[in-house]
Amino acid sequence: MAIFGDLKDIGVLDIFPIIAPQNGRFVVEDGGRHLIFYLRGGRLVCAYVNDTPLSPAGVEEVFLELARNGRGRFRFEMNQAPTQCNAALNLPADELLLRVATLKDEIEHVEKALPHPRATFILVNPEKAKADPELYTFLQHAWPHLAKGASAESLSLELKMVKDRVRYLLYKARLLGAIQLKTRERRRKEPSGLVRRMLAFFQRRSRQASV
Amino acid sequence: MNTPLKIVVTGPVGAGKSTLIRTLAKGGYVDTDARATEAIGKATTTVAMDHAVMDVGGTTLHVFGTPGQERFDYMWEILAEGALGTVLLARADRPGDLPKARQIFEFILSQSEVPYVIGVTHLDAEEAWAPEEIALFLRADPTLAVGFDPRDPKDAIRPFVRLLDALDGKR
Repeated sequence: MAIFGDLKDIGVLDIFPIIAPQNGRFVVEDGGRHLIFYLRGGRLVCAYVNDTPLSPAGVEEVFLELARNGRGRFRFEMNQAPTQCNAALNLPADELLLRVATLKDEIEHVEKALPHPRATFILVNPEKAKADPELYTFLQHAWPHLAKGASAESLSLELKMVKDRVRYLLYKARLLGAIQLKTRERRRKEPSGLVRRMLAFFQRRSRQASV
Repeated sequence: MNTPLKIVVTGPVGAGKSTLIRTLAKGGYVDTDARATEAIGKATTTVAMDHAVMDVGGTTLHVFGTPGQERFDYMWEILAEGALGTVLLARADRPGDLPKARQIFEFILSQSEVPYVIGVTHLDAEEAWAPEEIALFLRADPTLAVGFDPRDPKDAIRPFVRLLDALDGKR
């Protein structure tokens, strides 16, 4: 007997509470990625993406991504322990689960109001985000990029974070007035003769249509 | 020979982009609508782009309509390259679509220096936002919001006239 399936049918937040108290490894084949999470006694011992060990922050990002856009085959292999743990995590699985579920809910709650992934923002007053420690920490990391202007898409690549999470943090930063949309100044100027000729054309068409 | 010009019409699904371009085109129109396979509030939707061509006193004006679906966002950047301006359409009677309109609007403002106007459609609905209220929601200049009916040939021209007025320096 084995626990297996596809994340598109059973979400990671549904399957993880079942396997978390057990000892073994949770394997996800997600497109080109091979994800392995080693569990022991309710704790996440270590995790790898294509053999690269994940940091605690990295684990949260990967879990959030799986929870938001989860797809790919998964299986749980009982009593499989890591031969070595290059970067020991020792994270309580229930805390990780709760944290990711909360984040997922928060993002989905304001989903429609999130900025476009490629809308560019610029830092104006990061001190306004100080009351939100998580947001402030994010802004500190994003500072050099946001000082020049950065989008959720570019920041997610630079900071190795899930794009929708960056969109959510930018949404909050903007609400607090810590960042603002970076717009571009128009350099090209149309010849006024051309603009007036076009205006005359449209006005003529408008008159013709009303006759 | 004059260099061809283009104006891009964009906005969420169902805002009236295809209707506006059909009205403007008077037959010279490329229809790329397909039957909708999901509940989007209308029977067909644009899967590539709408295109109309007009001769403006010896200069060719191309009007392109972008598909409303998010997965085609990349087309906006291609179409906006060198455009004279953008007409962003938003429905006055569907407040639920306004966050999407704002996403598109902010994307446009931060990616390109193309001038814009906001064309507000469906103002004849029982309940409707005023064009200035929509501009307020989009954090846009309210003087650049124009209410119009994209089905009416006379009215359909209004956002273009406002765009050209703005290009001519009129507020």
